[in-house]
Amino acid sequence: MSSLTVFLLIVAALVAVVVLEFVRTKRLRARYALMWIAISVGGLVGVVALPLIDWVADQIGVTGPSLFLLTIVVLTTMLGMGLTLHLTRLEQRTERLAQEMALLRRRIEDVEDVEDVEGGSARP
Amino acid sequence: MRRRNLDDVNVLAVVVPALNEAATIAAVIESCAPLGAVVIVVDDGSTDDTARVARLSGADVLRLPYNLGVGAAVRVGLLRARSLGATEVVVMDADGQHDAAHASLLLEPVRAGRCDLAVGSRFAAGYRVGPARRFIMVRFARLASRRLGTTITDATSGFRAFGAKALEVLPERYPTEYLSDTVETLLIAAELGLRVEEVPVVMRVRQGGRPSNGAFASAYHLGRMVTVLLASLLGLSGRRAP
Repeated sequence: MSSLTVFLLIVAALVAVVVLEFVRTKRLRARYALMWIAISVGGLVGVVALPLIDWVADQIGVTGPSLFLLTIVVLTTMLGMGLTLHLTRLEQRTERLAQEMALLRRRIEDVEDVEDVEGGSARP
Repeated sequence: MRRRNLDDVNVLAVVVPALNEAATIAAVIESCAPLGAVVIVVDDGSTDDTARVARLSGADVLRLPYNLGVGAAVRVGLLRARSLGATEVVVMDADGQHDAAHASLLLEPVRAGRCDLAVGSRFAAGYRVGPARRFIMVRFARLASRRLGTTITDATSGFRAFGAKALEVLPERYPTEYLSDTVETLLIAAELGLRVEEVPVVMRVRQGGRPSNGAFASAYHLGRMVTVLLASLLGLSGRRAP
């Protein structure tokens, strides 16, 4: 095993531990944890299959490490894109919720105003 | 009572989106008195006394829990107007730049059935801006004109009148952020088949407060707007509900 392999194995294991810890402390939802675990496992497979990656690299004429890095860059980019898509949807939802809230709060004030008048409470 | 009954003849509501405009909001609300309309002030997360001052001035006040953007405030105002039974709405700024006396000018083509959305143009009546801003505003105006099949000179004007049809279909699609609330809304109106007309209005100097955006924020909003417009050129304009 090359030192690169050992290093990557450690990184993958660390990611797995950190992710599981986040899930345990409820800072990360299981469905996102799955994504990270998948990446982690994918990384492990990649590490073990480094000879395979080298073979692919040879076939398309690049050196191993740069192909490996390229894979990582592509994966992270896709991950980032997915997250911003998700973030957009969440933002749209909270915006709508905030707006609904303002409208509903006003409706409650309407009802309270009517009650005040009917109850004959002193109100200027 | 601060709420007026909108079930009878009068079905006009004035919507005023406000962000930290405690200094001017009372005067704006008072200036609307001759219109005989309920004035709906939507406080977009102000940190000053805007909401309280507006309430004391007799407005129907709604408060967003945190700052969302002009578009969100206008949308909430339109929905509130609708739930109060309004069939026509004038939207005007809280800083006193828009003259309530011009509201009837804006409403005229709506009432005459010539359009569903009237835009008050500042350029048509001698509004001056710097060359860079002017260049951008002209681009926006041309784009809106082409889409709408009518001449728009001031696509970023927030002084607008909404007719019944616009009130019915626009709130569902109303964009949240600054610049989108004006320019993008026109494109959405075109897409929804609403008729838009421009009416010349005179702008007054802002009566107090300060512009909501600095140069940096303006550049950001501009970049964002260009992205939105490019997307809409590609026919990718967001239609997916949240």
